[in-house]
Amino acid sequence: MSVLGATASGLYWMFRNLERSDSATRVIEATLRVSFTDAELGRMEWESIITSSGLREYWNQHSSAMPSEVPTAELINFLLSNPDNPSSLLATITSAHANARRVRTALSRETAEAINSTASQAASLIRDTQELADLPETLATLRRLLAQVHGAHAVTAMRNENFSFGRLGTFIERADATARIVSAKTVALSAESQAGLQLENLHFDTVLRSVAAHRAFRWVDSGTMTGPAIADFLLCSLRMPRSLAYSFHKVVENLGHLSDDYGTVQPSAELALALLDKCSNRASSDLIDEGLHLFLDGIMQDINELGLQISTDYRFDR
Amino acid sequence: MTEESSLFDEMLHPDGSTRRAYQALQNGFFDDSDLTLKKRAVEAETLFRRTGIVFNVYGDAEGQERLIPFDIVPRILDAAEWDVIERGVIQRIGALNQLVHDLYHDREIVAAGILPVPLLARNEAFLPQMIGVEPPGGIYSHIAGIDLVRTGADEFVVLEDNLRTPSGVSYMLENRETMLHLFPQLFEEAQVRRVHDYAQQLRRCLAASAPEGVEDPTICVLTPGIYNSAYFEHAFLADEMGVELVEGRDLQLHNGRIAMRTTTGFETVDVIYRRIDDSFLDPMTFLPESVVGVAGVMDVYRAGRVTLANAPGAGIADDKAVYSYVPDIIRFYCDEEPILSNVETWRCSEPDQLAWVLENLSELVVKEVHGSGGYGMLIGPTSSAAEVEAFRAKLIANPGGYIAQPTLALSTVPILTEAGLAPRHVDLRPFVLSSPGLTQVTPGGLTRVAMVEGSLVVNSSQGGGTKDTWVLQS
Repeated sequence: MSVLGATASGLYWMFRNLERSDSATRVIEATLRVSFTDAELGRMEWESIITSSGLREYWNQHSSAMPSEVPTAELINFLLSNPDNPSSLLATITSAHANARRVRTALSRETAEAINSTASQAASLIRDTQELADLPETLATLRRLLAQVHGAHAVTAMRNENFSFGRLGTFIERADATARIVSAKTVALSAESQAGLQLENLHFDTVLRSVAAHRAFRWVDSGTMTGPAIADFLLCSLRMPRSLAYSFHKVVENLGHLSDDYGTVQPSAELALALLDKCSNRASSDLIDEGLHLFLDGIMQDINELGLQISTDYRFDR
Repeated sequence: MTEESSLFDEMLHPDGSTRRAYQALQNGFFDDSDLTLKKRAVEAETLFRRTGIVFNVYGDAEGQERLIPFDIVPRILDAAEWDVIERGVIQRIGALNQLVHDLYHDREIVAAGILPVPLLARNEAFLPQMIGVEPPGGIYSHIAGIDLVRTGADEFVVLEDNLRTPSGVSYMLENRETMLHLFPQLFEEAQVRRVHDYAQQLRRCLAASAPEGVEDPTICVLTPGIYNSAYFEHAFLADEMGVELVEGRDLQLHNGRIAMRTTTGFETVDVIYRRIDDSFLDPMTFLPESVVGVAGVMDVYRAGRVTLANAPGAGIADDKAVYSYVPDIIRFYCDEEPILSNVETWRCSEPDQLAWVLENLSELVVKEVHGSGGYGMLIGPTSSAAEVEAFRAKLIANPGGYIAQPTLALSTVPILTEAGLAPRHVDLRPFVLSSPGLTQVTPGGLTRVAMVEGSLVVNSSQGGGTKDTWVLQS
C-alpha cells in the first residue's frame, strides 16, 4: 500500500512547520531572557537569531537598520507576525494548518481538530500580544497549543507510512534548528576552560534554553558547563531529544520503516545513515578540533540535500 | 408579501398546540430552560469551529472563513411527509437522468415538441463533447440535491434541481453528530431515522458506477483544493468513504488511463467523484487555463476507461430554464403525474411572459438561469424601488438569462433567538444517490434557515443557517 505523493509531502511539511514554530518559541524566549538580564548582550543575541533563523534577507527588506538598532518591540513583531517575514511564527503555524487541511484524510479527527483549534487560538493570541511583558506567557501558551497537536497525533495516529512522513518532517526540521542554534554559538562553545565566566555562562544558558535542555543538562556530566560538554550534549547525545544524533537516528528509523513498507531502500536512507555516522560515536573534542563551524555548515547543507532526496524518492511533487 | 399569519408553521397548529412530530421535543428539549438551550448553542458553535466546518464567502475581501450558523432546534418530518418527498425526488431524478441521456443521444423529447430546440442550442450547460457518450448504467447525476420548500400541510414544492456538484451533505451529517453530542437523551425517545450511512452508500453508489469490467474499483474525490468554499466537505467525504482526496495535479494520464501519483509510482483510478465544475475539468477539452483539472481526462472518459461522477454535461437538466419543463419531462419519460409540483415559472425568453414579468417586477422573484447560491437574484417585495429598476434594465438587456417566480409563502420552523423561540423560513435539500439499478434518498437532508426575521433567503452565502433534519420512523 502506498499513499499519494501529495499526502506524504503535506504530512512532512505540516510537521516541519509545527517543529519550526515550536523551535522558534524557544529561541525567542531564551533570547528575550538574555535581553532582560543584559541589554547589551541581548542586542547581539537578536542579531544572531535573525541570522540563525535564516531571516537576514527578509530583515534587510523589512528595515534599513540592524536588528540590534531597533526597539525590541519591532523585533518581536517581525519574528511573530510581520507580513515582511514569511517565516514568522504566525506564518509557520498557518502553513502547518494549511498542510494539515490538505492531508485531512490522513489525520485522525482528533489531530485535525487539535490543529484547527491550535491555529485559530495561536492566531488570535499572536494578534493580541502587543506588550513585551505579555510575550513570555504567549510563547509558553503557543508551545502548549502546539503540544496538543502532537499529543492528539501520538495517541490516535495509525503507525503507518503516513506517520513516518510526519516524523521525518519533525526530525529533519529539528536537526536543522539545532544545527543553526549551535552554529551561532561556535565561538563560545569551542573555547576550552572558560567555565565560570559570566559571559560564557550566559551564552551557554541561552543555547541550552533554546533547546529546552538547561535543566536536563545539569543531570549530565555533573552539569559541568563547558563548551565541549554542551557541544557534545547537543550534537552527539542519543539521549537528548533535540540533539543532532538523536534527530538523525529518528530519521534513519523512519526511513527504515518506509523501506520495510515499500520493500525498497531509497538513496535518502543512505544519506541519513551517513549523517547519523557523522554525529554519533564522535568525541565533540574531535569536532571542535576540525572546526565546529565548518562541521555544522556541512551538516546544514547535508540536511538540505536529505530533504530534497526524500521528496524525490517519495514523489512529493512529480 | 404574504401575511405572517397565513404562513405554515411546521411546529404549531394555528391554535398554538404542538403538532405531533414536534412532541418528540417535549422532554429533554422544550422543558430545558432558555439558558440551558443557549448554553447548548454555544457548545455547538465550539464543536463546529473545532471540526473546521467553515466556508469561504465569495467576494469577501479578506477571504475570511466563517461558520454557517447552526440552530439547535431540529426540523422534524413525520414518516408520511417523508414518504411523499422520497417518492417525489426519486421520480424526478429518474426522469432527469433519462432526459440528459436523451439530449445527448436521440433527442426524442425535442422531436416530440416538448422541449424547444433553442433551449438546447443556445445553452452553455449543453456540452457537445458529451454527444453519444454512454456513461455506465445511463446515470449522469449520481449525486443530486433537490431544493424543496413547503407551503402548506401537504404541499412540498420543488424550487430547484441540483445535478452538477450539489454541496451541503457534510452539514446534514455533522449537524446530526452535533445534536447527538448535545442532546443524546432526545434520540433515545424519538425514533429518528439514521443519516450516517450516507458515506458508505455513496461509496457503493460510486463503485457500482465504475467502468464495465472493473471488479474492485479505485475511487477518489477530486477537489479544487483547500481554498474552495466546500473543501471541508470534499475532505470529509473522502475520509468518511476511506478513499483518496486528490487535486488535479495528483492525477495524470498514464498508459491510457487516469492514475494518481503515489509514493511508489502511479496507481490507476477508476471512479472520480469530482467536485470541480465541468469547465475546469480538462484543460485540453474545456478552459485551457484551468489549473485544477486533469489534462486528457475527457478522452479517457469518452473511451469508457474512467467514470466521472457526476457526468460532464449533467447540468443541462438543472438549468433554471429547463426547470419549468420538468413536469412535462416526468410525464414524457415516466408516463406518470409528477408527485412533487413545480413553482409557477415565467420564462423571460418568451416576449409575452417577459412583458408580464416587467409589469409585476416588484411582486416577483427573478433568478439568473445559470446562477446559484442566491447570487444575482431579485426578490421584488423586499427590494427598494431603485434596486427593482436596476434589475429591470438587466432583464431587458438579456431576457433569456432570467426566469421569474411568485414570492412563496415558505413554511416556518422555530429557531432559538436571544428572545427565545421564534419562527423563521426554511427550505430542504434531500440528497439522492443514483447508480445503475438503484436510487436512494437519505432520510433527512439539509434544512437551511433564514436567520433574519421575515427573510426568505436561506443561502449560506447570504447569511442563512442550517438545522438538523429529523425524519421519524412513524
